Amino acid sequence: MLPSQRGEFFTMKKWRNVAIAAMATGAMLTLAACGSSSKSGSGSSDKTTISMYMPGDKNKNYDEVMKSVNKEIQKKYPKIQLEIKFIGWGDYGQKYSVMVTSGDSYDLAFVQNYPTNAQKGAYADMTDYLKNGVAKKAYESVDPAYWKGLTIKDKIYAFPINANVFAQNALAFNPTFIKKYNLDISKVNSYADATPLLEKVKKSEPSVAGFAIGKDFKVSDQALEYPVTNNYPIVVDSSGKDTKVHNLYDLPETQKNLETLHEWYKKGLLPKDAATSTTTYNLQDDTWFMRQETTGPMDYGNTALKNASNGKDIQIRPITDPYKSEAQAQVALWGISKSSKHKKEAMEVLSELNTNPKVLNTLVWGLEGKQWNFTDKKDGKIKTTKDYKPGYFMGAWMMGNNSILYTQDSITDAQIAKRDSSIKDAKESAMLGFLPDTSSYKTELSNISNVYSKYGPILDTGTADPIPTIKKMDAELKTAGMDKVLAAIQKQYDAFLAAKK
Amino acid sequence: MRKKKPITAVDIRSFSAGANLFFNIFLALFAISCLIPFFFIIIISLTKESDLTIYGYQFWPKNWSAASYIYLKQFGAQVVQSLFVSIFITVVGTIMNTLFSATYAYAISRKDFRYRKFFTIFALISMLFAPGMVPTYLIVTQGLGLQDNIWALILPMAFGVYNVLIMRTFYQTQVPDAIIESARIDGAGELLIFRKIVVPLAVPGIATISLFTALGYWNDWMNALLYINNDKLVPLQYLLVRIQNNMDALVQNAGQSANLGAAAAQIPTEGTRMAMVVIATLPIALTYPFFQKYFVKGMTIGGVKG
Amino acid sequence: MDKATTSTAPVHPKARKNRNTVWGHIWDNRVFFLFVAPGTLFLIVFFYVPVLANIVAFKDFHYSDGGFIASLMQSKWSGFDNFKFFFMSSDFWIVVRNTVGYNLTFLLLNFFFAIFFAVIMSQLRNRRLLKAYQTSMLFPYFLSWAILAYFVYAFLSPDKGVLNSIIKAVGGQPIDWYNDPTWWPLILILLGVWKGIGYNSILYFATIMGIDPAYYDAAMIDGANKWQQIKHIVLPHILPVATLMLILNIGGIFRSDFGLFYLVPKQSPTLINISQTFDTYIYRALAQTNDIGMATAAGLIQSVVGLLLLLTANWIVRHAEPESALF
Repeated sequence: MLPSQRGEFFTMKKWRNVAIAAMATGAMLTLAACGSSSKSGSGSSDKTTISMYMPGDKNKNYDEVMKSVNKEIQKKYPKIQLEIKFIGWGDYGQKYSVMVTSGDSYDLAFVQNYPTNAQKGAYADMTDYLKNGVAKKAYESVDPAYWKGLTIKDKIYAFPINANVFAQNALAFNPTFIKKYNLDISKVNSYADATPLLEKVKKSEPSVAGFAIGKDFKVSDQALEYPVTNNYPIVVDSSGKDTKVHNLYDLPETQKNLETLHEWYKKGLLPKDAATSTTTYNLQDDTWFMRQETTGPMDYGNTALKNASNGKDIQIRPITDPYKSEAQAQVALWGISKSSKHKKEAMEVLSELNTNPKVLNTLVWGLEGKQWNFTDKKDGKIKTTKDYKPGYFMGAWMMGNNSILYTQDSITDAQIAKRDSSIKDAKESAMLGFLPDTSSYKTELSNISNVYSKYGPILDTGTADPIPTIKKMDAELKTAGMDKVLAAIQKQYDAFLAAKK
Repeated sequence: MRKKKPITAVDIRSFSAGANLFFNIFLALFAISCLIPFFFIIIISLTKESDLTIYGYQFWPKNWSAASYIYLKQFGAQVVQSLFVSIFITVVGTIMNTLFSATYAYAISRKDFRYRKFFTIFALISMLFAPGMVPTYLIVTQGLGLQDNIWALILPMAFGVYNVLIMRTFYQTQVPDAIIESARIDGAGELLIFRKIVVPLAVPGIATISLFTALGYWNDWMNALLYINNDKLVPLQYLLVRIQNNMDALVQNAGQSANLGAAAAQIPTEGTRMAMVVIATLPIALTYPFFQKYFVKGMTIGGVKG
Repeated sequence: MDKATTSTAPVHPKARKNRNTVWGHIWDNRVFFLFVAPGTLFLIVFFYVPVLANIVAFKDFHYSDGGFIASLMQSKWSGFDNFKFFFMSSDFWIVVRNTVGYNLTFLLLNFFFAIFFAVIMSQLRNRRLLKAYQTSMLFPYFLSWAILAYFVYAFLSPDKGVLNSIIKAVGGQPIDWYNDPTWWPLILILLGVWKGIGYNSILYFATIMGIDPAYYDAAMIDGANKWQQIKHIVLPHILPVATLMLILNIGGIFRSDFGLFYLVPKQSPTLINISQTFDTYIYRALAQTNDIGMATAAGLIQSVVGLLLLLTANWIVRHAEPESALF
């Protein structure tokens, strides 16, 4: 005999109804999704779709922009249909790493971790296309420093975005307080120079962050390069006068700066919890007095900061010398998967992005007549409209050669001339083109990374007393294998310098 | 078999009045401590952004602002679409997972299943080792061809060994062998026994694992990151992660590029982050009472005791 | 499903006659095979096939034409090179101490509090209040550690935090919380337990609710008081579930709640020695290099330790209480 379970039977029936309803909804959703995807694909059956993965959010006017971009590309390459796939910032690294490791056959993707991936052979070799093939013109339009920076054993595996080929660290000052306290910033050429200004502002404005820094801040007023990445305290001198590979914190200049920062910390001139802080001090708010920014030729002085802060006339003082560096060469790269089935077509797309102003500017500025209008078509001067707002344009620094970008009409010819001369005058960093193979000391690097995470932030934010802390860190770095790593990189660097001569 | 008068659960299980009051106060205090963070989040989502930088996180802000919600309004249609996707994968996924886990567990809980030990260990091993993200990605995209398909959000979580072990214990403790034996003597087949005797007795267990599974599906965004590009199929949690990351990047890169627009730096990032938590949490948290109904159901099993 | 029907069909008549052949056993158990079929299929597709890629831990991974599998095959064997970084670390013992120490503490406290809450909730008189309590207690579970880290910061911020304001108001010396490790083990443990109570107690609560009321009935007739009821009815009934949880948690003792240990202390360098667990250590070591070989090796270490502990725990349980053992 079965126990009577009427109530439960009823429940089961209800569950079944829920399940059926859910299945039906799902079928509808799936159908809707299929329907829409087949619609977008139907018109291009005779075309080769090139998939391009990049970090960011899909433009709100994506369909219109891509229609116009594809029309332009197809004038030259009628068979190509470009499709951009956006992965959110922050998640991009993870998805990209899975795609690369799994040998996914994407056509184009915004590159992360170029040296390691390229050395392990994750990307298609572009050298032939660049030097003698479809992308020759694009290749020649890019500053040669980039190509030097990307070449691994005479081969090039990625296409760089020609933009800020050099960058300087700069201190940026909030104009509100400069005006209010009538400050003179023209003498500031190092951290220490800013001490009296900070003291003055902090005395009258206790709730304002003097030097607005957080846990990712790195002290640097010299032109240094990091052979591995700046997550390891291993540096060489950009000027090339010193050819030794150093522990960043053993340099007297670094220690001097850290002393300054520690003084500031003790006096309360920087946020007390800087070593752990993730606070973003919005540019346009008066919650900060001084901050550190990087600035390059394409920023036209403080114009970029001014635009970003809704017109605040933020003053900047560069504190490092300009070098065309390895780090800048790797800022924004596009790579082709080794297993892509459309390598040549992908190269053709890259070539268009970097040589065809109409393609690039539509992506970067939006649609002509909607987001912007020409004020001087011949010189490529434009004025943006009120419809030029986030969601309707893309970052110029990651899309294509910035020298064919239209410029806003507020940028004067003199500024453009200055931009070009500054690029011409900037020297190449001594380390440009040095991409060490880290595989023989990756065990030590991972341990160094852990030790550094225990000391880096408290040193750089001035939280810790530098000299004793560095001593303690160095002892731990030694056990982690720092000496072996420094020696190995030194050997590779010496060989690199010798080959360059 | 003797027939028993149904006794309501309240009569027999509850504390005496004094103890009841004491534990009520105790639980109420604890429950409040659990709700405070949520109120705190709602308040931050309504605080003026520059106040957060100047005064830190406060339980009562100096200046109120709805800027976060206004910023999120532009994603309105997408949020609704994603809510439906989330509900769909949660409901379908939970049904599948619960069904598959409950049946698997039942088989390995039965002593007369000759291969029960093999299938127990077969499942158990998968709890200890991790298959890794890359090979799983290959299976889903190339093996099953599920790129940009809603099933890519459902199938990878459609079975749970943790659930299996919980259910196995429920069957072992709450479904006496003798009931099954007597039903079998009455001529009921295994399927019938499972459906009409075992499942009803294991309702609290089924409610438990389906709640756990539903929470898992609702909170998952990793699968969406790996497999979904089509905006129509993006679930709510991933949409919110995406909005947040893009917003952070937009603000951090504000000074980096000459062409970036003015409005970029004005997004109330912290407030919006909190506003998104509110949106993502409320729907699922409020479904709990639905599941709870099935725990509380007082059951009367006529008959045999173990 | 396919397995059971297709493979048995041809031998079916014979099996009827001879119940001692393999096919005969399978036929006898056909319904059970039907029941395990979907799960088995799932485990093969989503676990047993992809898990083979774990051999990458013993390889020096390089890409070659033909995708991941070809790359995996053609990469050179590297023995235990990928494992070295963890054992060579000077922090090895700190990491092991923290991981095992915190997890053992969580294991005991979660165990105790989950059962304690489940028991008192199951005995409450007012159902509507109970619903409200349980729903509230689930809220922390929904909030990610990233969000809770903000909440904790609101209390512990050195200059703007609630706790320091209180300390200052009563004339004490404010504490620089994020640079002072003293309180952190306590803070992390409190938070970890608090966040999990709602979720962890559900399982026990459901188990208690499933107890046949006849047991209480009988106990009341015998004149048992509340405590005796709990001791003699409730606790024995949740023992199997509790044992299961104990075994599984012991198997997971080398895995830690990443967000709690990484995000809540705001990655403060001065707190790393007391908050570094295996998972945060691996993350900090490999986030930059993203080396699939080393990452897989780290996962394998956790798996092997977990396997050994689980076998031990199960062995002990099998000898003490055979019914509750996993296998």
